Amino acid sequence: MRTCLVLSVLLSLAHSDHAMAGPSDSLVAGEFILNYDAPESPAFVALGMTPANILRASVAKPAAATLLSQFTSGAKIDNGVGLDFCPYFVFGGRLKNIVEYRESGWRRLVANTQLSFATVEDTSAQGDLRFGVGIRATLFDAHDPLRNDKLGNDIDDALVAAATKLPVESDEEVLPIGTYANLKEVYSQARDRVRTSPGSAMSVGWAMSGRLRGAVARSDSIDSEQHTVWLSYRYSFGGGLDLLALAQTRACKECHPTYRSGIAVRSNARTWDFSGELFFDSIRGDALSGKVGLALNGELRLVGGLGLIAALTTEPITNAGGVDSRIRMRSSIRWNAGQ
Amino acid sequence: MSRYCLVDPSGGALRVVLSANNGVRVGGDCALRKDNADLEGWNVRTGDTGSTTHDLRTSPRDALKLLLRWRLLCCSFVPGVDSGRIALEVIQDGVACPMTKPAQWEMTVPPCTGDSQRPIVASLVFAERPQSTEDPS
Repeated sequence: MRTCLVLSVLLSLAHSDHAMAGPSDSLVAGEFILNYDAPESPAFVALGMTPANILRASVAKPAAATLLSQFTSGAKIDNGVGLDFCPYFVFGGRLKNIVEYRESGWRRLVANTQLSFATVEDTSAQGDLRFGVGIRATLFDAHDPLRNDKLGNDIDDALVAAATKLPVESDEEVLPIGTYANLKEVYSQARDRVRTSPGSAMSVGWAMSGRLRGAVARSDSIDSEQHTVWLSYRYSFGGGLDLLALAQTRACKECHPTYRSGIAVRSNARTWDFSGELFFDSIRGDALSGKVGLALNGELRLVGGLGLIAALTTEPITNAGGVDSRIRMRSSIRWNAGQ
Repeated sequence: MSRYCLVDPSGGALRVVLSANNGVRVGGDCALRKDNADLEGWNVRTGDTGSTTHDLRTSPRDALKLLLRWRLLCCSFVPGVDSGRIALEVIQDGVACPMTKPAQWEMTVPPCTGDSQRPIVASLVFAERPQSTEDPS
């Protein structure tokens, strides 16, 4: 019920955002650039509930909300909701100019650091709530829109050309916001250049998950605390083909750590992408023993900053007979709130 | 209310400086007008540095009583940033010329990705700076 309510609110906000953009046959200029290569929610990484196993390394988007459903063979459906945002500008961070952003590695790092919060219904223990919190920082991304010289110059050209439509004089100096320059095509071309050009990216993240017994937030009601740290990398060959790589470890206070490493090949098109993954999950206490997993996942980018993601993956489970595999299916809806 | 920019007719050439902070992108045009026609006109863009300059060809003495007008469109290039400060100054001999009304605006600016922009349309008239150093405003 709660999930349906959140979903309906998000969909109505997305619809109103799209409605304000103008005629129904035109798309908001930046929705592709906002939707393109959006990284997974760090909090969902901690919960082990991201659709993809091989995580994206791209720069974070300013704000995003995710609804997620997971079905694992032989288990019930789990539903979750996550919120991600980059706090630098939200809490007053400022820039002198774009050159400062491009030349200062520290400022880029801070501006692209993402905080994340998520909760998941715990179907195994009624009344309990699983939660995740995380932080993720992008060390570098060749496809960062703010480092795109041509995009900035093309925007300037469009602004200069459109300013001639303004009156020569006006009673008010600051006029109401309106559409004067058509930046839709500028961003569309920038997105296509980014998608098809070579370059790499790397991100690092940490996240923690736990269970709130009785869904009560008190320090003594938290158990099953687990920490996850990961390093993700992407190399774009150009032509819409990417290679992703991941190294990840997960540990808790009273258990041996597990390790995951893997690669993925991803095909990027204008409105969708599709990946095939190969990864290795170790068993606790033995990094070299474990199970190889396979996964397929895809994303469909819709209007209004919405993205639909679906994934099918194998998941190792430990039983009396050793380590086995089961099939897990996940789907999620992500809304990039943008600015 | 008209805006007057006080200059020294015997001083150095006038430099028009347009600036924008916070990654706001500004593009448009400026013109020095005489007898309802453009004596000088040029395009402006603050670009990645957030600033652009133009040296007037017209001497300070010939610029007296002439109108400098500008039309600008502004949008925010940085995701998550929704405001900025845009300012226009006239520099003479390395010093900003006093204005009776500041030509600067702190305002909300829409994202460049959102397909809308904030316009600014304004002007000033060049006037002779009095010998007194009192604040003209």
